[in-house]
Amino acid sequence: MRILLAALAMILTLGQAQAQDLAEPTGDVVLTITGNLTQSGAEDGARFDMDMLKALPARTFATSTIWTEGENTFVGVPLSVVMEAVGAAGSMIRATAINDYAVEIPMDSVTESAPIVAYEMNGAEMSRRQKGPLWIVYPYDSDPKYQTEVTYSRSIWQLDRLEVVK
Amino acid sequence: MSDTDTHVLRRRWVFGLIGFGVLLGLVTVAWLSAQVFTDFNDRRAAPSDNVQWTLSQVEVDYLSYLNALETASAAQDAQNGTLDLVRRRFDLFYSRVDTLAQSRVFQPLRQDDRFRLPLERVTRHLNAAIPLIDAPDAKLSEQLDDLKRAALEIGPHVRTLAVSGISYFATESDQQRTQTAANLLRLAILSGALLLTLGAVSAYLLVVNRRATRRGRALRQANERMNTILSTSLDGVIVVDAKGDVIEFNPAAEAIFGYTADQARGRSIGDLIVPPHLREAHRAGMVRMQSGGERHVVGKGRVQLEAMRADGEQFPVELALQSARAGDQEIVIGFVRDISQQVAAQQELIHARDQALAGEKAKADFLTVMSHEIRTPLNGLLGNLTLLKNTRTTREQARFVENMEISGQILLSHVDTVLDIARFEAGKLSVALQPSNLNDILQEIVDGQSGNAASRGNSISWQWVGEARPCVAADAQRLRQILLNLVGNAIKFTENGRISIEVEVTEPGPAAGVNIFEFRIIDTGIGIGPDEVDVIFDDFHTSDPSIGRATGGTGLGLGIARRFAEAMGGEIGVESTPGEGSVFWVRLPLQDAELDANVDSDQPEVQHVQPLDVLVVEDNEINREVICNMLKLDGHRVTVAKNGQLGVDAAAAHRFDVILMDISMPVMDGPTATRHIRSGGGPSAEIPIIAVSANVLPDAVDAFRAAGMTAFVGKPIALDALRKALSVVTNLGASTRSEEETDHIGDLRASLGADVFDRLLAKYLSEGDAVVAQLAQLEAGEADLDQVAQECHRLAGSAATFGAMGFRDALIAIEMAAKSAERQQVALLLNGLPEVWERAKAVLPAPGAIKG
Repeated sequence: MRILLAALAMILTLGQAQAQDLAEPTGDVVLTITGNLTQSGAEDGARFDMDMLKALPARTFATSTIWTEGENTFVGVPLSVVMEAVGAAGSMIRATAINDYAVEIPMDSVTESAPIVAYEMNGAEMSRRQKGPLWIVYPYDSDPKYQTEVTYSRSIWQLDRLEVVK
Repeated sequence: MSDTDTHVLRRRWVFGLIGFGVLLGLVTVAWLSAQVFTDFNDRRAAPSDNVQWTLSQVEVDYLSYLNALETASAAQDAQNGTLDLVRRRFDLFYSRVDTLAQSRVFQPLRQDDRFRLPLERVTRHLNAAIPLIDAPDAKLSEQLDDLKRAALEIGPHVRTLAVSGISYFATESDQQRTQTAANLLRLAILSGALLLTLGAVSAYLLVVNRRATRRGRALRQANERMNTILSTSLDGVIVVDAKGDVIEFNPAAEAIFGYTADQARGRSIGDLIVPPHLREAHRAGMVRMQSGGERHVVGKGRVQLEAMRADGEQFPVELALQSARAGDQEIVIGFVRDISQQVAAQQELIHARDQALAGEKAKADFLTVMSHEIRTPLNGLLGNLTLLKNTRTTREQARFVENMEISGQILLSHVDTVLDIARFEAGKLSVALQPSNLNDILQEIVDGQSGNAASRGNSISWQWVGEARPCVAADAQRLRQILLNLVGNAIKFTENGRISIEVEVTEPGPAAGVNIFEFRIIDTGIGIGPDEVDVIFDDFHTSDPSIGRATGGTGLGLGIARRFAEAMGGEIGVESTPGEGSVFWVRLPLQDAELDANVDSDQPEVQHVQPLDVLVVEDNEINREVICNMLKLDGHRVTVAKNGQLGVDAAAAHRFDVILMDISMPVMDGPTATRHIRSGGGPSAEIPIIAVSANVLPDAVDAFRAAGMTAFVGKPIALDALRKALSVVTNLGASTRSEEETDHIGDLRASLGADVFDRLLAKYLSEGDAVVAQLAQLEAGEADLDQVAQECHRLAGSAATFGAMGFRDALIAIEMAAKSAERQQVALLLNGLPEVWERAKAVLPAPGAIKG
């Protein structure tokens, strides 16, 4: 099913690709995506500045995390949307932080709504000192399945690179 | 609550408890398993543990930052890249420490001073560095050395932070392991216990299951049996629930009511089989039952009701209802039997019985009417024979008349016998107890039958066996009849033999003063065969038809004797040896009685005949003539009326002394005429009216009295009876006369002195006996009337002396008749003379008896 969905997504993005190439960043690049990408203009890697990310459909939710105090509201682009935007064709996403911390996120664990690549916390952009500027966040409070060690390990902050692995 | 209910309840409890225990065990096991699983998960996740990672990264990030500082300060001039690196490394380091300070994962760790103090120190350093880091490049460059120095100062603290954290988590990890081990042990124990419990429950369930299977089998068999019973039952079986809806309807019920079980099931019993006129009561009964009220039919055994078939036909059923509990709901089981056939048969039987009873009644009525019809012409026959005897006849004619009279009397006795039976069958045979003297009764019978016995060469006698107790309260007439019938029977079957009557008090009776008297009539006759002993007391039984015919028996004599004996509370029987003789016995319970001297005086004497003015109302010409002649014989003046109406007219026109009134007459019957006379207020309204009828049943006599009649004379009329009735109703009662006589005797005795009185009395008695005997032997037709008149005259004087006025009157009447040569009259009066003499003697003391 999920494969079917992915295939469908591929067809859709192919359609989009013919219409429009991925834009070039104009500001500071905050996220670089490499690997098996099918989106035209992104074959050799896609680069996003903050505005490009904000232009993608966003999702907002509130949750507590084990690393912060109290409940926080996060705004960000669902990872699935990002993957879609670059025409990612792979089974695994390798996410790397500024300090080179890296985790692997299986493609089929990514749903439409979670995780998100958060760029705002409590109405403000996140600085590097506050685990910004990008942070992969799950809605931990919404479901016990997000309260596992694996999920915690995947919640990578100070994200700056993604690689789509076959 | 029943035993089964308690049992079931207890079992439910047991199951509930076991189930709860197992569930609790399972939950605990699951919880412990989850616990252990989590523990293992934690263990497994430990290498990639974010916490440990973060802790170890603090030092890495610190060293990276320090490294960047050193690089930057070493390349003091080479500006840009190195400063940015410092800033980035600072940020990462800051972020890491911030995580340690903020994250709730490190909350427990932050409580520990070994961790908290270095953390605070590092944080302080970082916060102090921020203004420098965020300053423009020039300023940052200047301060690099200071930053580096400060950063170096916190180096040991960062180290402590990492190490303390790691040792803390290592300890915690150890604890967790111990905890897990404990959990595992607990899990093992609990699992074992659970296993044991489950094993026990399984065993229990096995036993219960086996029992249930056995019970199920028994239940199935019982069910099959029940079904067989239901389907083969001849009675309809219908089961309804508390609402009255049919649950079961067996084949017999199908056959009775004409519904199939499928049609009946689920329908209301009231609509199904209760006829419309009973539905209201049925509904009320159902409501009463549902509300726990009184039950009129349920549990009350068999009742008869009406029910209705499918085609609307109503028919009688016998119904038994019983209620039972099926689970928690009440059901009613009805057993229905179609008794329409039975009822029809019963009705037929009742009808047949009614018909039979009606037939019996018709027979009794017929007998009564027939005897009545026979008695009426007999009345004429015998009356005329009496008159004929008093006329001048030749000797031969006189004998013929005599024979005719005897035959007539036999015929009359037969008719009376039949009438007795009819009366008995009609239930009108009453026993009238009165003080009686058995000696008299037996003597009378022996005297009366001696001629009859002698004619067949038999001798007859009676005697007491044991103590004589003659004074009893008895229905003398019935007793006499019984004994007469038995004696007559004995004479009939004995020739040249002996008939003896014995009477004996055999045993005390059922009550005080009552004794059982046994009368035995013993003959030396031909006897009775054993096969006849049982039937001899049946009606119309004659042992040998030829003998019966020869002796003129009706075959009713012994039947009547039996009826009378039984009516008197006694029994009758016979013992016999054929060829040697028979003993008929009667056992009667008789009450002792005081007997006064005047026992016999209840019959009024007729001695003084005062001429009366008599009206005879009679339609039958012969009867009328007989009565008139009898009356004229006694010197009465007679007026006749041919029917009731004429009688009423005559009574209204003239004052008579007495009226003789026939009962059934044309135009107006006797009772009606009597009522008219009584209510008419005429000159004869108050005078005595004597009913003359062949109908002698007590009912009829009562009816006559009710109509206002004073007395009653049965047909055929006997002169004696007529005289008696007349004397009673005209207040010439003998009782008064007898009293006078008795008083007179007392006076006489007083005045003459006892000796003289006795001598004269003895002479009077012997003279009276002689004369009466002599006169009785006279053939009136040939007697010397002058001599008769003389004898009568002489004796009349003596009678007057001894106060026997009745006797004297009778003698004078004969004297007068003889003098006027009225031979008929003389004969009639002579006939009655011995009786009058006996009565006169009865009131006299025996000679010498009153001496002293």
